[in-house]
Amino acid sequence: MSGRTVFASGRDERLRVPVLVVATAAALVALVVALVSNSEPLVAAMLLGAGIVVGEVFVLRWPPAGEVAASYSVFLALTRAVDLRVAVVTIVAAEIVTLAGDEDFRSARWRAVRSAAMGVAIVTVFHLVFATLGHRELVITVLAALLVSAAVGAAIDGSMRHAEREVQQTYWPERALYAWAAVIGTGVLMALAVRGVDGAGALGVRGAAWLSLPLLVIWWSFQQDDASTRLTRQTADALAMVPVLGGAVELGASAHDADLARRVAAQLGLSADEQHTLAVAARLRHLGAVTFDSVIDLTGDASGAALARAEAATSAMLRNTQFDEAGAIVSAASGVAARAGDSPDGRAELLATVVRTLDEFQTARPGVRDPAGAIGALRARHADRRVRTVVDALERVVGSGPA
Amino acid sequence: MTDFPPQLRIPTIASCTIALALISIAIGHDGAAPALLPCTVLACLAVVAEHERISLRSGIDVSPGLVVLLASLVVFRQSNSLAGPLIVAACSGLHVASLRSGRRGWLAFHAASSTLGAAAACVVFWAVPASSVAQLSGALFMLAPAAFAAIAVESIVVALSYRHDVRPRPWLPEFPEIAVALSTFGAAGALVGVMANGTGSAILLVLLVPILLAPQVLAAPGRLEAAESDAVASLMRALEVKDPYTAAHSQRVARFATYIGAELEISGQRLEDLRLAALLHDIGKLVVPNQLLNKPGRLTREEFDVVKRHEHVSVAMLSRIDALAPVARLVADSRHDTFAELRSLEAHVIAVADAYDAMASTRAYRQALPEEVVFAELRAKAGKQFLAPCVEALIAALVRRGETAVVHDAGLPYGWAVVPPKSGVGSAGLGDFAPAHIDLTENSGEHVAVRSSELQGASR
Repeated sequence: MSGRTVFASGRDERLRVPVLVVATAAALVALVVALVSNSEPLVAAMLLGAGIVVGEVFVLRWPPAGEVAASYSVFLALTRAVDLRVAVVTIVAAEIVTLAGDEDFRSARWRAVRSAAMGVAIVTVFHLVFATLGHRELVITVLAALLVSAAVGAAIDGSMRHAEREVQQTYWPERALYAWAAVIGTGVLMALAVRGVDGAGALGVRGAAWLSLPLLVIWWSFQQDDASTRLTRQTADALAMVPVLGGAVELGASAHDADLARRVAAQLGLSADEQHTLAVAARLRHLGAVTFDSVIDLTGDASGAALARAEAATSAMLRNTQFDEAGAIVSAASGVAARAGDSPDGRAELLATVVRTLDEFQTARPGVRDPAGAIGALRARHADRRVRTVVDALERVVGSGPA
Repeated sequence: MTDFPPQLRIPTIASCTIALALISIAIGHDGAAPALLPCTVLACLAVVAEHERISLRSGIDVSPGLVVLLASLVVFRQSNSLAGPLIVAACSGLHVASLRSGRRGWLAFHAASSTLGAAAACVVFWAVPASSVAQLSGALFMLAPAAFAAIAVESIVVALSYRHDVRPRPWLPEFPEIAVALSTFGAAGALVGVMANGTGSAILLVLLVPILLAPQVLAAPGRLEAAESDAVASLMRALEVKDPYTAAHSQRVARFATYIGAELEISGQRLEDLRLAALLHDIGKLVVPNQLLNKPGRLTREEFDVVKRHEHVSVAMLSRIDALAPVARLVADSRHDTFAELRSLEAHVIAVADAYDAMASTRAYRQALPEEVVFAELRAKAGKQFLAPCVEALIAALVRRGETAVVHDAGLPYGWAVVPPKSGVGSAGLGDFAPAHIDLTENSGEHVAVRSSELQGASR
C-alpha cells in the first residue's frame, strides 16, 4: 500500500500546476535576462521569487491543523541576494501570484498576507541590522530577522483568530518544531550559500537552489506523515460505519457525539492530542453494540446498562490497536475494570468522565430536545466536582450552538 | 564483545587491519597528518550522524553519515589530504549507544567497514583533477560516483563478513525514498564543504542541520507502512472480537489466496493486495447479527438478505480508506454470484480460497469435510464455479507444503457450544442459505461461536 496514497486532495493539488507553470516561466525569463542584460540582482530576484511561489505549494503540515510553507526559507536567501527595495517587491509579487492561482481565495488570503508580512519583516530587519553591524554579525542579524518575522506571524495569526472568532490554543507538537527547524535551518543554509561569509565561500543563487532540495525531501516526508494521519482517521470512519449499518445508532449520531466531545474537551483546556483521542472514543464507543447475538439498539431510549454493555465490547475491540487510548477511555467510561497497568491518572479519568457524561446527556432523550433540562438533570444527579466541571463545559458548548 | 557473532571476528580483524594500513598509507602519501580543525569538527559530526542512525522496517540500519563523508571529501580534496576522509570515516564507527553498552566488536566492525567505504570514495574522487571539483557543478557531479563507491564497498564488506548467515534480502521497499533522501542531504553536505573551503572550518558546524533533519525523513516511509498495517490490524481486531470464527476464516483465506497467487506467479504489490483483499473480504460481517452468522439451520429469505448485505458493507468500509481502495476493488470484483461475473484473476483466487476453507473447516452447521472430498469437490466445480488453474494451484501448494489437514476445532481460538453435525449444507460464503431439500433437523440447538477460553471456563 505504501506510497500510493501520499497525496491528498487539497490546496497543494489545486495550486500545483498553475504555480509550477508560473515558476518555470519566471526561471526561463530569468535565464533570458541573465543572457541579455547580465543584471545579477534581477536574475537573483526572479529566481528567488519563483522559489517563493513554488515554496507556497510545498507546505509542511502537521496534525491537527498546523502548517508552515517552505517559501519562508527563501526569504532569508532573498535578503542576502538583493537590496531591500527589490526584496520587498519580489516577496509581494510572488505572494500575489500565489494568491491568484488559488481557487479558495478566502482561506488563502490570510496565508498570503501572513507570508508576505513575515517575508518583508525578515528582509527589513536583516537589512537594517546588517547595515549597522556588518558582515561579522551575520548570525545575530539572521536570528533577529527570524524572531521579528515570527512575532509578525504570531500577531497576524492572532488577528485572524480574533476576526474569525476562533478559539484555539497555541500548540507545538513535535512535528511543528521539526517543520520550523527544517524551514529555518534550510533558510540559513541558503542565505549563507548566496553570499558566503564576509564574501568568501559564496555559492550564489544556484548553490542556494541546490541547498533547498533537502527541504523538498522533508516536505515529501510530511506528505507521508499526513497520509498516515489520514489513514488513521479513515479507519476510524470505516469502523464508525459499523454500528450505523448494523442498526445500532442513527446516521450522523456518532459524528455529532465526536464533535461535541471535541468541543467539550477544548472548553476543558485539554490538548489537541487529548481532544482527538476523546473524539475518537466518542465516535467509536457504540461499535461494540454489533457484537451480540442481536444488535443492541441504541437509537431509542437505550438503558444505561445496554450502553455499558456495548461500550465494554467496544473497549475490547479497540484495545491493542492504533485506537488503544480511545479504547482505554471507553473502558473506563463503561465502568469496566481497567487493565493492569492502565492506572488512569486524573487526566484519563477526566476524559472518561466526558464520555460518560455525553452518554447520560444523549440517553436522556427528552433532554436532547430540551438540552437545558437535560443539563439541569445531570447537575442534580451528580455532586462530583469533576462531573460538574464537565457538565459546565457541556452547557457552554450546547449554549454556543452547532459548530 | 557483547552480542557480537563469533563468525564476524575474523572478518572484523581483517577489515580493521586493512583500514589501518590504508590510513597509514594515506598519511605517508600526504606527508603529514590532516589539518586538525576540520578533521576534529568532521569527526565529531560523524559521531553525531552515527548517533542519529535509525532502523528501517526491513531491518537495515541507515544513518546520515553520507552527509559528513561527502563534506570531508570536498574539504580534504582541496588540501589533497587522503587521510582526512579515512580518519573521519573511522570515527563514524563510534556509535555512542554501542560504546555505552560495551559492544566493542560492533564498534570495530562499523569503523572498519566505514573506512573501507571512504577509501573507495577517495579513489574515485581523487581520480579527477582538483580544478574540476573546485567548481560547484564539478564537485556535485563527481561526488555521485564517489558516494556510490563508498556505499557499494561498505555493503560488500558487510555481505562478505556475514556470508551464508545472511539470507537473500528482497528488494527493499523503502529503497527509492531512502536513496533520494540520502542523495539530497549528501549534496547539501558537499555544498557546505565547498563553502568551508572558502570561509574556514567553523562553517562546517551548519552540517548539523542536514544531519539532524535527515533521520525523520529516512523514517517516514516506515511510519506510513506501520500506519497501513495498523489500519488492517484494527479492522481485523474488531472482527475477531465480534466473531472469532469469521476472523480465523479470513486469516486462513488470506493464507490460501497467497499460496495460489504465488503459484500463479503473482508477486510484489499485486500479491500483497490479493492477500489483503482475501483477509478483509468478510469485514462487512461486522454488521451482521451473530445469531445469523452462526445459525445452525437454514436461513430464511429475510435472514439471507441481511447476511448478503455484508458484501456491500465490506466494499463500502474498505472504500472509505484511500490506502485500501485497490483492495476494495478486488473485494467488489470477487462478490458475484456466478462464475462468469468474476472479473479478475484475483477474484477467482479469492473464490477458490474461500470455498476451500468453507469446506475444510468446521462451521456451525457441519463439521469439516474430509480433505479428499474437498479436493474432489473443487476439481468437480473447476471450469464451472472455479477457475481450474486456481484450483490446481491451491492443491499443489497445499500438497507441497504438507498443509493437507483440514481445519478442525482443536487448537483454534473458538469452539462451538453445540457440536456441529457431520453433514449439512456447506459451500463458499453465502452457501449458508441452504436449499430447501436439505434436512437440518439433526441439530436444532443454539450454535454460537465462543472463545475457547470461555468454553474452558464453562467446563470448569
